[in-house]
Amino acid sequence: MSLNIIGISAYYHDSACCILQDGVLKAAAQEERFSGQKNDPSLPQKAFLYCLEAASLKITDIDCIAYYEDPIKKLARQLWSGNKKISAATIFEKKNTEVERQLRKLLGYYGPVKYYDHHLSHAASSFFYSGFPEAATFTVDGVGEWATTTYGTGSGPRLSLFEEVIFPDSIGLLYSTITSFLGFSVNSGEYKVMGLAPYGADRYSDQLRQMITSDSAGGYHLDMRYFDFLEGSCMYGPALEELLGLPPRLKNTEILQAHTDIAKSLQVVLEEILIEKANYLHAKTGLDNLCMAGGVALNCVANGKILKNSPFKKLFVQPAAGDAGCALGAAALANAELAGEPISGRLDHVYLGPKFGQAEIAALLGATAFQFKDYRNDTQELLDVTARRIADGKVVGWFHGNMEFGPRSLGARSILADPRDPTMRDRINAMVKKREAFRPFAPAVLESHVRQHFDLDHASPFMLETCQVISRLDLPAVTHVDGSARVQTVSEETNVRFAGLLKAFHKITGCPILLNTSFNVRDKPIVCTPEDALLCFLTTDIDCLILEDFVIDSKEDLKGVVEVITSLLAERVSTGVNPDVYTFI
Amino acid sequence: MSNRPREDLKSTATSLAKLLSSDRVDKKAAGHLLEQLGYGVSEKGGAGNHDNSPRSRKPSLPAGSIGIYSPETIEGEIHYQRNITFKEKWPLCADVATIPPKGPRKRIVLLGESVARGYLLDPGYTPAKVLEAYLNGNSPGQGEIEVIDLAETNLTMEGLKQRYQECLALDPDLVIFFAGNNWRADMELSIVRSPENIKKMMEALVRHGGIAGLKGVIEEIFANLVDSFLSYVHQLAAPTGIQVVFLIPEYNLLDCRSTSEEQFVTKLMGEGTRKWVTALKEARAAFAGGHIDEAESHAANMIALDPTNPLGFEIMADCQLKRGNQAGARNNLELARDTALFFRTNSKPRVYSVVRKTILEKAAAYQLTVVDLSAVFGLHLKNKIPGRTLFFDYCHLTVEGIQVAMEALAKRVAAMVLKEQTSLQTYPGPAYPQIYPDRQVSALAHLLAAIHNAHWGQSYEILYYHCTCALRLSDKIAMPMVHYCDMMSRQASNVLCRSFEILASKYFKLDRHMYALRNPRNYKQMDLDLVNAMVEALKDTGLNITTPINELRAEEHGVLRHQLNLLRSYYHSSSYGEYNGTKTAYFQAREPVSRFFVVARKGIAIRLNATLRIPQAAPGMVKAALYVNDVPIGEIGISDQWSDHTIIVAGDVCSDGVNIVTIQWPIPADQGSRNELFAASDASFNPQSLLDAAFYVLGEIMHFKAQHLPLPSVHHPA
Repeated sequence: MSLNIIGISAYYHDSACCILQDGVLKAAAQEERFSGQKNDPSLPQKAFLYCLEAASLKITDIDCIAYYEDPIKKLARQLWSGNKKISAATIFEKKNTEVERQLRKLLGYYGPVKYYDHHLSHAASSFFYSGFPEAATFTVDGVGEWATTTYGTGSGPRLSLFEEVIFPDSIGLLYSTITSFLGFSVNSGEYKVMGLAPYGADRYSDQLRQMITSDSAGGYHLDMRYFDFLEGSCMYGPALEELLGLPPRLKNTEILQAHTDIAKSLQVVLEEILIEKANYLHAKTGLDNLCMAGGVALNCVANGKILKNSPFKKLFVQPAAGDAGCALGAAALANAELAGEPISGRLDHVYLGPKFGQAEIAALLGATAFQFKDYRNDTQELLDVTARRIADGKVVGWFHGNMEFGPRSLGARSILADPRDPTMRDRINAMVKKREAFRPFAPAVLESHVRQHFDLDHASPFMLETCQVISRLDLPAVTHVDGSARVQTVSEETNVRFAGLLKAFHKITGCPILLNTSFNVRDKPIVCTPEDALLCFLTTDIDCLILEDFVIDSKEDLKGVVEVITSLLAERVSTGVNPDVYTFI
Repeated sequence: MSNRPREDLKSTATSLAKLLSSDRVDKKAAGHLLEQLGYGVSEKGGAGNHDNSPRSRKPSLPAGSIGIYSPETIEGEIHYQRNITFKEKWPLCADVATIPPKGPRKRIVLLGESVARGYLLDPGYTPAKVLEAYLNGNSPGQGEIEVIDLAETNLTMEGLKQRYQECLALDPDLVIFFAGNNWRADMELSIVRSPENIKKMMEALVRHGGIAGLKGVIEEIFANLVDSFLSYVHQLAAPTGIQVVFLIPEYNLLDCRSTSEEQFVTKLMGEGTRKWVTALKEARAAFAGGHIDEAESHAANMIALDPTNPLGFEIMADCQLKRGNQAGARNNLELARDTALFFRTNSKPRVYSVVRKTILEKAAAYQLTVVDLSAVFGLHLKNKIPGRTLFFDYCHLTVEGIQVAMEALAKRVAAMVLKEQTSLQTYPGPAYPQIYPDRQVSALAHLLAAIHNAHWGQSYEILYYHCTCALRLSDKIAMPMVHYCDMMSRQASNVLCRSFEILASKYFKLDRHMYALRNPRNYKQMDLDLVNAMVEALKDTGLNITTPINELRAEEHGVLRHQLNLLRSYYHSSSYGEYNGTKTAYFQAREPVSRFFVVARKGIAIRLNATLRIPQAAPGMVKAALYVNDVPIGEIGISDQWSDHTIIVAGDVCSDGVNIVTIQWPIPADQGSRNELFAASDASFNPQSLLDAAFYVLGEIMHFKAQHLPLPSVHHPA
């Protein structure tokens, strides 16, 4: 009789579901990929059905649902914060029993539900999947229930947090506040601010340091004069404008040098405080291994510096370090509690989402007007022709195998291009991704060749670390303005076909590296299905689409209806959360 | 640090959170704690409200814009040009690039929604064009009047107010409103946004003990809303001397019936639900058997038990039509139409009785002239109930409908604008030369009407009617039908199908109607009734595509080629209507019978695997009956816990092509005396919870798959 545990994170942003079967992670997916609504916060109904299907289980087989936070504690914090969305007239809608009621009502589940604190779920999502027998855990995010930063230790099936910083003091909210001030959306624009930073100079760190005061231990305090997020309508107060000496940037307006300087200074201040607190954590625990989680752990620039500037010897960051990953953490905690042992092994890949069969794709293509070539009997030829197209300057949509879990495309739903092409970054940003010009792209490199091209001495399969580019090759499309790159190492053990493509490209060009970016357009989630991929291909400037074993080189046959289809698909962009403020409800 | 809530309030917040999490909330204690935390009774937030977010400043139209038109000064005069920024809205508006400055002609502005656009015929034939032609063709001064067409598809009351206010810049002599169908959305908002309205509804629920008790309150709220709209219209018109005419739309009472979503079973106290479901079954059987008295009696029982469900009224109306009682039938069909006020689903637009009545009652006080299409059509049809000759679908008018409506309007308007009595008062009768659209325009409109009706759950008979009308008007419509059948029979999303590409690029002037060819994301249906109607209509013209369509269905959806997940939309959905309450991960049956479609082959047995339950606790097991193609297959024991079942359907029961798998759910149990609505009324207003409490779920399916068995077998009833 197997132990089947569903993990769920929901009702904030980017909801997700996973399934653990006898301690083995069988499947995981974010709801946004099914609903098409970026950052979809709703209870992950479709992801739940997918997890059951992927594990060949029925609802009657599920032993437990593990939920990623404590709704009572969260409600207490919401009530204390004075949020504008709460009133005497609405308060009874916010009954914290709602989560369990919704699980039962919307999923039809009537078994036991276990709740784990938000930061414990975060820490578990890193520690239990790290493969480390013991480690210190460092979780930094906006806020969960009360905690915003926590310090802990894990050993075997045991995980505990020994210190916390609580709301409203929050490094994550500091970062999100500046993100909002710079005209980007909270909860999704933070990554853009990190990408903007290398263009700037550190001219504002003195001002930003006035916003946060660190104490000698693990704590710190925000000067709330500069923040307004307690009310839930805007992140920053008028005093921030005064402090920085410029007005907030309006969304979609020009990015000025001062904005890039603020982004740079924010990165400096963030790194300072994270390094300081990581050193504190090491001093308290004496452990060699560090597991990081929480949205701030997605700041790969800071992660690399933490490892370099602290005594920790190894670092693990779970690739879905944000709230979606908490589903994995909660499930692992339930597994430890029910089975008395940790889950099996280290998370060595995130190909945990849906996959689609060749016959299904062949039938789909047969229904369309696309001309395509079928390489079902010759994988090597498929890889060779794909590599040739990339070498010829084509931008390729790459769809293969199980979809990735988490925010990064890692070779299952990717857009690929030649990293040596100096025009490629601008072209993909403008014509394919339809996003800001400054956004950098990441390299995927054969693991066996990483040391020759990047200042990195270990595998980085999840694109969560940055390092300097040291290659003799000129790689302008994946080298950031400061000479850094956010590297994904690819091995045959985890993605044999993607590794094969890199080899084929290497063979043709002498370059074992590809530009790899997520297969989506601005404000849309990464594609999930072959249909999503075809529509993205059709409505963007991607030159060629590889759908499993099928190659589609042209959309000429559909040229006449591209505009029609684009307008039909151009629903009002709707994200699941308010982009102007960190949503506390 | 400043600007933080007090530390000592954390324990208060925690106490309140725990209190709110308990099963029975002590509201008095909660209110006390809430007060300590600084939350007001109605004002939201523990602190003051302000918003300094720069992104809350929304981009606005250029100053002085009128809908999609923006002002541009040319040689000292203001012209209104279609603004490219709003290109996506162009298909919703008149296909007119420029509104010129006002000249010597009298200017009439037509405002309204899709019915005023002449939806389905637009832009080839529109009410505005017909009205202008009528007015100028018969006015003493030819060409003296211009009609500016500002009607816009999807416009709600709020949008209409804005457009009205904007259009005054055009210096109209008269403004016509042809609107009211979309106002349920405004009414819904006025409920959700008003604590006072919510309170009224809660009190009505408690008083009545069921959702039927809401009708009076909803109608009162709706009437107030319409009144305030008319008052607004008057306030703006009065100082300017602009005359205002209100053309009240009519509904396709005879040929547009409730959808399955609009018929969802109501949760009635005690034995009510059981009795209603039983009466429905008996009424249908009696009517089908020609026993009109008996059917009428059961229908009356249904209406008495549940006046919120359209079925009782519709069956009653059908009985009265059989007897030739047009007035009685009309009354019942109007009552059936008005049950959409209970929000079961995203019902089709319509003018409710309360809207019409309010406009008629208040018009004089607000100095509005009214033309009532219900009365106009009544005269035109000699008091027969309006149907397909005047309507393409629920409210959009056919050529004849537009002509009759505009003729009546023109008579009234001409006299007002030209300030003199005309010879046009000789009503009824075709006072004006009739103008007609191109046959292709009409043919396309009928084809789109067939598609539109299918997607809104109308019967095979009406779909077939529109298909044959389209083919009769133009043989060029045949190939688009063929491609449509191909597109709908495939699994791929419509926009990806080769047939879509052909339709969009070769056949249609589709810029206004492309959405009709698009399916919701991950929710495509096979349009079985529509495709079958098209196939039959084409057969009548000598083009037989029966075999290729059957083969395509077998290829794309056949159980011999695929394991079918019957909970996917292809295999159970026949309209795009959806339940307005909570949507669950699993299938919820809200009608006594659920139907699923399985494309199979005669002689090949099918295995069905299902995980089922009934949501209401019942003592022990109850039975659901399973049928395939109306052949009883067996009974399934189900309870309020999920249970897995495997059912083998013998090959001799299956037929080639689409097979109908039917689950007849158990008759509902006694619901007891305490309706959940009381519980809902205890809490704050949550529209979805209210609907969930109001409507009944007869059965639930978590998992339902079909696959074929390898060998032919003989039918052995279970």
